[in-house]
Amino acid sequence: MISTSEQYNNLLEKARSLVNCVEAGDGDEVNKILDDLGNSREEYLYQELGKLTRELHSTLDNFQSDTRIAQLVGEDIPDARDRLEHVINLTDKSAHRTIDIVEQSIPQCDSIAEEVNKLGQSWKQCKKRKMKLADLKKFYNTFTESHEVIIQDVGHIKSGLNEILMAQDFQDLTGQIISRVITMVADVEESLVNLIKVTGHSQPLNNLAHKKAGDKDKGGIQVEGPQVPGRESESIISGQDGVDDLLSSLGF
Amino acid sequence: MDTNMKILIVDDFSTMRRIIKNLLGDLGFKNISQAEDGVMALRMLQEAGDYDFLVTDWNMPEMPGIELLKAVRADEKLSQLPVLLVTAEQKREQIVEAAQAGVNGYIVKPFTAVTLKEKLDKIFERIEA
Repeated sequence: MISTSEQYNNLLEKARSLVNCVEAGDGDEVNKILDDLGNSREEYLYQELGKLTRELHSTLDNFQSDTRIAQLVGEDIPDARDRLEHVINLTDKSAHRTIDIVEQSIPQCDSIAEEVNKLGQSWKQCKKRKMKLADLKKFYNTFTESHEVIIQDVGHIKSGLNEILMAQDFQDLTGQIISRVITMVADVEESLVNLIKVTGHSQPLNNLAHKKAGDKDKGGIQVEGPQVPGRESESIISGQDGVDDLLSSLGF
Repeated sequence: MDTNMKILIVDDFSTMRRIIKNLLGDLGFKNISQAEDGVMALRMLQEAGDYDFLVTDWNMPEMPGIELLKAVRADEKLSQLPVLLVTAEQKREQIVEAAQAGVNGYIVKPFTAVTLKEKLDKIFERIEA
């Protein structure tokens, strides 16, 4: 309570006065001095309260302007929503592409079956009429035509299967995007925990871990994962052609 | 380009490894191994010593593709190994960094089978020249 020698001397003086007034029986003066002492006690309390209030204000201010919550609300959460939206689009596209190819391939299979049937019938005829030349000729023609059709159909089915293979590339891209959203959710969790601590104990916030939803390479350039439309980073090169152009401009 | 060449595919997503393996298979390359991270890949490359080609993703835990590339280039026995990056990373700085680190080809995801073949041909044309 006594923080300076001035205050000390002040107090001593008042105490001496008090004693004198009590001994002199001066009731009014005694009350005055007691009030005075009481007031300085109150003043001390107000000062301490003021200090605490300023600390709390500055903590809350820091917390609000502390980029983490602002960033989460302003950038990261809308960013995460867009990313997940994009994941839905990618998986939707992939599923439809696959189904399209399946739908195209089924008639091809039917066509192959039909041709094979034709061949079967034609050969049956041959056998029934004991390999007459006319029938063999007919079979030969049927075979030539069917062969052509079957080879074509098989070709289409094979390339359809390859396309279906490529359509699975969504999994890698969506997986990377979702991983980043998971990281961001962990960030939100941490910030909320801190918020609870702050409002619970009025402690100044130190060392809030500032993790951004992008990892840092050891090389220092931020790793991005797949680009999401509307959320592209700066300095993105678009498409394989863009990459090829950049590389050749560098002499590679 | 020898279709029997020994190839290592590195990606933390198994679907992507399978896709690339199948595409290479279609082009006649059947001698293919896989690794799911850079650390394992580097070990495999060093222990076997006879890999002819490395295809790797960039964004992987533990050791990103760019670090794997640098480690390969820094290793006496592996420094000449042709390396192809296949990745969703497409920032200017990253492409430049990869080129400066000595990558032989850079393919961005999503990509087509045609692109893969083109880049392969280009890489080995250069080497054989």
